[in-house]
Amino acid sequence: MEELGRFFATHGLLMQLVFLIIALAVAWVLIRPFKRLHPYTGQVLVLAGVFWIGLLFFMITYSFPMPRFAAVATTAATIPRFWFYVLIPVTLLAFIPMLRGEEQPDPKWGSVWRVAIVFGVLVASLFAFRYIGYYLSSAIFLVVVMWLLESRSKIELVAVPVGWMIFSYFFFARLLYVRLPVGTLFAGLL
Amino acid sequence: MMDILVNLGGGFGIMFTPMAIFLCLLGVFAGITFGAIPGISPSMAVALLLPMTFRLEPILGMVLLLGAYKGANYGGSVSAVLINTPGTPSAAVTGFDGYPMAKTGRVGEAMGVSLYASMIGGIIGTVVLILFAAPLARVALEFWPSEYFALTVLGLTTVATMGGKNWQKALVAVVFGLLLNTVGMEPFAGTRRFTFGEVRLFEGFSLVPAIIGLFALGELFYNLEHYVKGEKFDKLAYKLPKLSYYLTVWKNITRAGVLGTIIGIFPGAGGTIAAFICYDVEKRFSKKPDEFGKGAPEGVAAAESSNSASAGGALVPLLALGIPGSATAAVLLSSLLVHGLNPGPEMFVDEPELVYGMFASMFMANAFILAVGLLGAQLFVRVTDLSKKLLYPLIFVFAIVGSYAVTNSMYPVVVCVAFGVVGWIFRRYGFPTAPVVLGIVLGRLAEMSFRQALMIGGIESFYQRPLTLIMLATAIAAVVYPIVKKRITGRAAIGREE
Repeated sequence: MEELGRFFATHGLLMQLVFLIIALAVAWVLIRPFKRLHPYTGQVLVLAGVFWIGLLFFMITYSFPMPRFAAVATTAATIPRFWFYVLIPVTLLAFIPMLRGEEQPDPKWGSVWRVAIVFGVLVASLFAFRYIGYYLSSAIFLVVVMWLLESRSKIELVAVPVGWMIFSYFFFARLLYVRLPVGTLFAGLL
Repeated sequence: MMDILVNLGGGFGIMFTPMAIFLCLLGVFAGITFGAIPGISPSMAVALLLPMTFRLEPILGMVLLLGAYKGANYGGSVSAVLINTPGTPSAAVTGFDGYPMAKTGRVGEAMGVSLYASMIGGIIGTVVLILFAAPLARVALEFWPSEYFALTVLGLTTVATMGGKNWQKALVAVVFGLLLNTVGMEPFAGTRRFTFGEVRLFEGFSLVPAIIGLFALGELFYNLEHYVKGEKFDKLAYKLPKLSYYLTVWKNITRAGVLGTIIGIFPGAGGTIAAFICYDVEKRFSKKPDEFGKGAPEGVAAAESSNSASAGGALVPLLALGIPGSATAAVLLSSLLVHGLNPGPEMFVDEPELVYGMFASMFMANAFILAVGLLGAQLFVRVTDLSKKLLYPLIFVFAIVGSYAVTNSMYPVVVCVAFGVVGWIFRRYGFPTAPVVLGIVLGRLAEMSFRQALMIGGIESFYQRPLTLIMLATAIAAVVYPIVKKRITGRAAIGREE
């Protein structure tokens, strides 16, 4: 267990995401033969995701350094392990109604493409903070999302981002002393 | 008692000067404004005004800061009710019912209940502070880690009612929150836990961006998935209800106010735990518990009253013993120290004018919260007038800048977005997000107190101390009672049918 714990602990966050995806894929494969569980695929995968995180933490606790003093009643591993022990019955409790078919089935998918685009634009705008600064980046984000939500009024598309830029500068930067990033592009101008 | 009244009269004498009134109003206004902004906590709001107090007389400085403290506690609920983006962690509980009320066109009702509950809760907290500061502070200090642990267990039992029909999923969500809380430096030996080589994870996940992500971004992603062009909030009731309406929730406000004050007294417990516990208590007392979480005014009243009252409770150990029980109390303490004042039992004797002036200013701050809230509510509720194509993008940027403001860095923003995705997935599949917050809020206190108790008194400390036993028994009863009751009523119903 110690070896396994060390293996997972030494990988970065990106790899943890890969491990999570693998765990979800395994869970998906495991429930495929059970037709009764098909309407709950999403919910089972949420349970599997949470359980994987608990299991991952549990395994990693075995790689923690041991305390020098034998008299110490608890270690850094005590609480994460305890929560994992609690998670096992709790996950089962949530899983049983699905197995019995008593749970509400998964909801139908809505416009997930819209969520994906907004999420992508949001992440891109966060990356852009470093280069074009918060103000311009958030203004572009506002225009794109408003456009995506079918706002076609030119006045709105100009006034809202400009208004937000002015408000955020005076309120956050000047009044509350929040040092919003200005970006490398504009850093030389200041 | 007579001494208290005489001193309080002196305190009001100080407060009824133009400068004190102006500073109190300024503090309340600034507090409400800052508190409504996600990422600006009451302690930050008070800290931002701290430099202004250096040149003021000590009492006037405290009037300004206490006004801001009280105002910020109320301000957090404004954004929680209107856009499901709690300005402060404790306001997250207000949003459980406040936001559903706003969404169904009862925005005026939600704002009104939140305002009056905040004011009355604040008054209850202040009265308790004045009457029982010294003895209560001594009782709080008698608390052992085992009692703190029992308090967190009691807090965790609120999940039993929070999930409603989805209680099994709520349990998964709360354990998920508790697990996430173990990320970062372990509080005793400083062992790095689950940081995966990421230095920024050493401090764990900050509460504020996690809450903004789970509630605001999670809800936004969900709404975007189901967005229909031209959607607006229902236009039903922007007007605040008549005064008689609030009589329907007076019991909830009073109970939550008293309980919130008591919880607020314990150093480290704070308004968030108070709000969670009081919300749970009111749900259990309610004849219509199913309506909680869907827009019950009693839920808003309980959360807001307890949160506001806990501010008074947090001042008990500060003024009576000189021990700051919360981050905001620590900022207030620093203001007193700057002026060469040492809070503690002697201050009541040496500086009665200052102490009772502060008490009087807290009453005045509550009155100003009502005034500013009544005037401002008409303006605040207009937010819901905006069409969703404008409101949604604005909430996004508001949430992002609010998260950024927490530490002036990108890390909380990343945390906020990550929790936003979690919030969306949880919301989509019927896993309540509030228990995740509960787990994050209580996780650290639970771990600290559990391990301290074991180190100091061993396992015996959990069953040899009567208060710990009582609290743990209450916690067990809180979980078991609804299950047993449900079974008994279920069997009775079957028996009647047969």
